[in-house]
Amino acid sequence: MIRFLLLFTAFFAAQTAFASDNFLGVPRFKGVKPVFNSNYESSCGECHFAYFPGLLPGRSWKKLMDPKALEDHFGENAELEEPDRLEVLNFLVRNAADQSHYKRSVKIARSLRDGSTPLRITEVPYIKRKHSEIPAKMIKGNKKVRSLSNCLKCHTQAKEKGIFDEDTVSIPGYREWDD
Amino acid sequence: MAHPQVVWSLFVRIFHWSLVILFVLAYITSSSGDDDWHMILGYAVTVLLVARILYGLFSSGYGRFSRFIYSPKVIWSHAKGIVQGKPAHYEGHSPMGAAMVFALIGCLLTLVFAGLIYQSWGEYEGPLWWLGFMPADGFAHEMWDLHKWLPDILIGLIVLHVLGVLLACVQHRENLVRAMVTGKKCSGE
Repeated sequence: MIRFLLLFTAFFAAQTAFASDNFLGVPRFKGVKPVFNSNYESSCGECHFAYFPGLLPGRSWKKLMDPKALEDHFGENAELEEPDRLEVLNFLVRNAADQSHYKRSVKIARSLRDGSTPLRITEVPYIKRKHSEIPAKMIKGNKKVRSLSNCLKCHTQAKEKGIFDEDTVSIPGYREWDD
Repeated sequence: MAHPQVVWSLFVRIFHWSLVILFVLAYITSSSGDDDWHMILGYAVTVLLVARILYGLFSSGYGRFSRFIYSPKVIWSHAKGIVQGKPAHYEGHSPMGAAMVFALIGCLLTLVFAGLIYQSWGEYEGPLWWLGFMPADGFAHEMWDLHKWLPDILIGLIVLHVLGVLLACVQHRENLVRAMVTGKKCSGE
């Protein structure tokens, strides 16, 4: 019994040493890479959370950041000056999910291996599946959340750290909910 | 009382106590946010279960499944004996104990299966994902639910198991917990 306990302690200790690197060659950076770009923040963050580039693959960002597409950005005109657009696009593509070694980004990219190009993060299969068991009243019907696209309403450590883990989630009005 | 003899082989004892530790750790990591650890612990439980099944099929001794498969009638009369305070004594697994062994192994197998299905569908990783197996949405949701409530059933079974062992310790005046550590049981009362 004691031998086993020792073995497991050693096992856990060893894991902590590798935790920030990788485990058996599998990328083990937690969450999504928390990258920031001042131009992206000012150009896009004015209207909505400047979603981390690692939440969509590069091909999605390219399609979204197309000059024509920006003229009708989910019903809004989001046109940018060409130098700004190029800088933001470059920043997004360089850090996109399919370029990332962060766990959530790797999974987002894996869930899009069929080659589809979602324009909404909420349409990424991995993200859809992870949220599929949350009752509608807690998101859509929740006045303090409204939509799955308002990540920061519930993901309390997303903005600064890019962490989306379940234990960091707090749904407004349903703080006690745990499933 | 006859001399103590080894009833539980080293394999059976290691299996039993590692399963206890792994199950507890897996239960803790399921809600602590240590998803990666939870998966590794799940694999470890799976390996243990597979090893136990192979052992149960191919070993000799008290750990062999065929040595403790009892008919419902025998299990019933054993249960009656326990209630009446004069239970029959068995060297290896008693009929009620054996029923618990199969219930626990069955639930644990279902649990790890459900976990592996969810892992492929919802986490895009794990052996089934690497093999290219992507379960249908409906089935995956059922397995996901199952993976959430089955542990509570298991905890209920574990409580019954412990109570049953304690009762048997009293009724047969033998220390069964120690027997699962040393392997030795005094048989032939």
